[in-house]
Amino acid sequence: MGVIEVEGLRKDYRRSHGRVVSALAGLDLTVPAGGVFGFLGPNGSGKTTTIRCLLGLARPSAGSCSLLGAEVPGQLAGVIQRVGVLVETPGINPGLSGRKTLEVLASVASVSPSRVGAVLGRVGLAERAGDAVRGYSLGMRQRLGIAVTLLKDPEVLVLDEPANGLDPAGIREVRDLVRSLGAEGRTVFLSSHLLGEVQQVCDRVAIIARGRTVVVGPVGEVLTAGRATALLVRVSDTNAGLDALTSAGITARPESEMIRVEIPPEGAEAVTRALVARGLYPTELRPDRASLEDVFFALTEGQPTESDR
Amino acid sequence: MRLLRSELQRASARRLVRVSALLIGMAVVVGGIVAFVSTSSLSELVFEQRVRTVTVQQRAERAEIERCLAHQRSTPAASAQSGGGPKGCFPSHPIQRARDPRFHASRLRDILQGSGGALALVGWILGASLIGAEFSSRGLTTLLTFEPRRQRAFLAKASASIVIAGAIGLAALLFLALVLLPALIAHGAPSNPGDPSIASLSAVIGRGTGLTMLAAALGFSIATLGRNTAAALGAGFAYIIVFENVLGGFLERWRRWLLLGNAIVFLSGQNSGGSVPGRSVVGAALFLAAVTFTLLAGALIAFRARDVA
Repeated sequence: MGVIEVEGLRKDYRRSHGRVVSALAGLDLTVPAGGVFGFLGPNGSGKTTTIRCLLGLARPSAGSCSLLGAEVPGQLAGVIQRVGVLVETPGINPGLSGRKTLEVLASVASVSPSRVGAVLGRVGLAERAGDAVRGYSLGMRQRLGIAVTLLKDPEVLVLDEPANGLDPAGIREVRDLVRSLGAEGRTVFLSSHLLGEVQQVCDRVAIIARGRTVVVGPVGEVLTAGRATALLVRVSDTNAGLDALTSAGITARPESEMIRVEIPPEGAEAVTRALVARGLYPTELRPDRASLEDVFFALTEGQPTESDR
Repeated sequence: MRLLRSELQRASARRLVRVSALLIGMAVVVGGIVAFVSTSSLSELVFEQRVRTVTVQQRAERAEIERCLAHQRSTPAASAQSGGGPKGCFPSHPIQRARDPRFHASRLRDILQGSGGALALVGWILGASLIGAEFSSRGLTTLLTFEPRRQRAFLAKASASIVIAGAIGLAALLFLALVLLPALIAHGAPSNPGDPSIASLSAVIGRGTGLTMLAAALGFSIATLGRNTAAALGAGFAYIIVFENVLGGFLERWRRWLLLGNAIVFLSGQNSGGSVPGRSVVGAALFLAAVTFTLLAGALIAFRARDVA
């Protein structure tokens, strides 16, 4: 059983003239305990709606979801103490200082005030903790939002775009933080647009499009699932190389200044043999690995439109 | 209680609350200075002498007018020739009155009553803003990830808004009474049987505070239903223009079922005060409380059922 279980989750919104728009169209998802789980999808695919349903902020039209075994929203109060949440930009009172913000929330959650200093230090806000939040930059507010999620020392962290508004150094810090939280045995459910970041920190990913799960699994498996693998070869004479390969019955086409060979990496020897037979020696031969971005676009483009009914 | 305490801390840190308290404090101080400067001490003997002098002057003027009118009646041709007519007999300057520059205790009561009405307006705005700002800043989202039981969150927020508005109202009225004391002590008129007692002044302050709290609850409820501050302010404006002006103005029997008339009766402490026939102070208080609780209950039901962004 997963830490997060979502089954057949639907969320419909009524619009004018009785039109119904489905933000979620029967989403299924299971997030296992421990590690970092990436939750990806294009804008409007239903990521934030899923998170809202999971936290009891939005009522599902159909389906069910549970968090740490507790049914949401009925039993959510029983487990919320073990869950840290950041939904998009943190909703924080600008009149309070960073420290006071955390102290107030700590009192709501019955968390020891001594924990406030620890989380401020962990997100790098200790020096500005006494300043009013209205004087914070977007990045500092985002760090404070992350500090809010850590306040309860949670088993599960739900982070929706935690790197929003952060500069490259901040993004890197968040990446390291997320990675360390996962390494501590916590479950981090990370929704993000930064595919490169997700690829670097996540153990498993789910990609959703138009309110449905498209693919879910370990990052490595998802990467290979999206696109056929190929080899990229560089030779001094590209045309001669193409001719040599096609003569040997290998499908190849030019790509930038290289030759793209539609053959799995295991076929590298056959490629080299065909080229050398014509006196062409490869200066570069490497597998064309699909990035998560490639897979993401391959899987999310051209999905059937079901959201508008 | 923990939740209420934290909500009080969050709400009291809002800029609007602090600015309102500051502006009210400044207005009260200015009012105290104006009351002191615009009044002066006068012995009862001197005042009685002034009254006698003015009375003699008034009698002389009246006799002159009567003599002039009688002359015009007896010789209409002369009157027509002079072009005067009856109007020509009346003096161009207003009839003199004996000015009393002293500060009367009854004036203190009137000022406190009027201020109670103004503070109710402030209470309405505060109540609406304290929840409206939480919707727009997404502070509610953060709170609900710490306390997902919406009924508790709503009651804590509503209580905090009402308590803060009430505290500002009470402090303002007490402070107002305090800053008017120098004028009353230094420039006060001798007591007379119609003067308000300490108990009745306390009751005025109590009713002013109560009305401020009810107004805050009403503003809070309507802003919750509309999910923003502007909804409550717009509804209040439309209500006063449409219902109070149109219905109250043209259909007198409706006045006892409208808020403004009942608020005036309640604030005045006089049965059928404010030209609302057949409405007692207790009846007005019960009516205002019933409307407030009905709207609060409606807002709670909506808050529990709706999604939070």
